Amino acid sequence: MTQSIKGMRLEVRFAEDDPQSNFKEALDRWRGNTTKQASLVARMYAQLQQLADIGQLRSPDKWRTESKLPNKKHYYAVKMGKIRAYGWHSTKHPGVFYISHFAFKRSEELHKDDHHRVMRNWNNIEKG
Amino acid sequence: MSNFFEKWANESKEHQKLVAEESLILDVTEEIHAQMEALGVNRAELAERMGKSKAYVSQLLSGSRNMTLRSLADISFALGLDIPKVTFPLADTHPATNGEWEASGNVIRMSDYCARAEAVPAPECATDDGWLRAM
Repeated sequence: MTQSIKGMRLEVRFAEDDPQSNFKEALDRWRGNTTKQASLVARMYAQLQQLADIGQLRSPDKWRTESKLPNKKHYYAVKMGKIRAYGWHSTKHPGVFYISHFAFKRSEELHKDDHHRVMRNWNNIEKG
Repeated sequence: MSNFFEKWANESKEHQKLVAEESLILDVTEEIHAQMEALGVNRAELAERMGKSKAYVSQLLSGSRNMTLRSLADISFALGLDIPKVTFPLADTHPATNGEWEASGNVIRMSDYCARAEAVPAPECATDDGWLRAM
């Protein structure tokens, strides 16, 4: 079953089947530090809920425009320190913001693996 | 349960408290960004108006530095905004027939919250499937 966060403006829907395991992988750097991990889970939840309720995140610390999708529109990153949640506004499902996946970033630049993963998930959802 | 974040939050009072903290920080910092955007003020200019460094303002607005009520008031003043009014939404609160105030299911009184917290100490990271604890 597709998991989602429903808000007043958007539904934030997870594109992959097991977003929980994916998020857990992104937090792996803090393995053993349950206090830090709990804080990060709460912060990401608050950010995704805010995105769903308000429709956007304004702070450049929380939101970044990333590369382009095949339909020439951009996809985005919800930022939380070195954690990213990549996603796009769906054209197939209006009012839905899809989270492609979570990733831990070692550098500011977009990693090609993350780009390819977004493209794959975008194709599955929007063209599937 | 519609998503794993919600499930995690509902596992304990401690998790709910963390989400409440982060939500409030985000609400405030996002609202300040909205006002700055509307006024065409960037972080450097806000810092200058406040007589602080840009790094200080960036830390406040990113949530990495705790924002005090005093610094919130300073930001409001620097932006030429009215000082924000704090209200706690108490939906559906009404006087009961015995004259005492009663609360519906979606109203939390601080006294009730503290009483519950003392009565049921929440484990720091209780999970029913251990997905976080196992990390």
